[in-house]
Amino acid sequence: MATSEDDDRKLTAYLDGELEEAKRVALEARLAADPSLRARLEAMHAAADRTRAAFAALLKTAPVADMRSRLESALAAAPARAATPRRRVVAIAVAVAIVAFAAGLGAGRWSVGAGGERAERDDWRQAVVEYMALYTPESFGEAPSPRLGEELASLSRRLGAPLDVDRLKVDDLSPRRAELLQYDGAPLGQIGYLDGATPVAFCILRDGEPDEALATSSRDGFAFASWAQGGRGFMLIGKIPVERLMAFARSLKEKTG
Amino acid sequence: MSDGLREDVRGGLEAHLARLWRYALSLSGARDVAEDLVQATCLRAIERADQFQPGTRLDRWLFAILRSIWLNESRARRVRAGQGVLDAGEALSVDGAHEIETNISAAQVLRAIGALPSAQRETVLLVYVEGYSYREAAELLGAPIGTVMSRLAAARATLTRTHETKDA
Repeated sequence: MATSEDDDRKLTAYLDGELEEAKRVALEARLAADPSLRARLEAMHAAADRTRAAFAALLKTAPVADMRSRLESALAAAPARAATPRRRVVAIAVAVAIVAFAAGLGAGRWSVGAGGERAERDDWRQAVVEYMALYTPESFGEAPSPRLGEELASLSRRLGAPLDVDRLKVDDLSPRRAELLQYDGAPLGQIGYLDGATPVAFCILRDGEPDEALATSSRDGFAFASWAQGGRGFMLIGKIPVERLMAFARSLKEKTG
Repeated sequence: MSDGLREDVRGGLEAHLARLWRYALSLSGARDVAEDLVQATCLRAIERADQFQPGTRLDRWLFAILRSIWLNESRARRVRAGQGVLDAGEALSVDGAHEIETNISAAQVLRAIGALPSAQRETVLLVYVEGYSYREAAELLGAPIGTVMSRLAAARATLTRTHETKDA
């Protein structure tokens, strides 16, 4: 049924009891004279009720007991002023979860000028460092993902780089899982490893950055190696000795270049 | 700070946990994030209990805190998942072993709501489910009343169309 958006707005406000008096009187006069407008009103009427019913059903699935006990144990741990350290932990947990959920609007990529590119390039690496801090050995699974082959094939397509289990096996490190994230709209691939019990991540961002030689650095207790070639930025990161990380990075650079 | 106020806020939280979670789920689309958001909201509310004005609605104050935490964390983090994660339509689904007939229909509606643009989804929840007036919703959202109306109209139009298509 064709009605204008303006009519939909008026009908909605009317149904919601939010249409101001003069407009309400005018709309009621039109409704009395126009069967198709009345039909539209009736069709739109049920949407709010259905929404309420659906959200009421959702409410019943809320994990109230879990949330209550979590809150109680947080409060019991430090009754008076636990807020500061705990808030930080929760904030980080939220931030990490956001990594796993596409939300909100994307800012334009490369919106800063050429002078900002260097900073942008470091931004994604800094973001990786921040969320790496939250990984535990369990984050990369007890066993390699059974879908690892598919995950890597999908990453290869999105990143335009050849990635498979053989290429990603270096020395005694084997990939355990692979996933696609994004940074400012550019595909960001992450391949997870465990060196013993220590999470190590190999990240690839397809962002067109100019080639850069392999370099290592450390930040926040992490060793990381970064380089760029073929329009892709690479980064290997983990809390392992920097020499060991560098050796892995060299092999990976050679095999995935 | 007044310890009495802190106790009031703390004691009042429990009654609102489920609705806070539902709001958090509508915003984030992920159940584990929703739980984290609720926890963060409760802790911050206790921390800032002296800012609560007695005689006003605690639930509305908590909603505002939850929204502000969500926005700040969203802005702080520009890394977002590309694929392989739940979309909001799935995340909002009613699940569990006891999927009775009414819930199947609820699940269909939730899927349609989950597919709405997030601003529409949030506005629909606030006005149609939580009972915010247009003015109250506009205040919380920091948007003009006309924007609230447009979001609701667009959401109603989409949900109406979805329903008609399903019945056809």
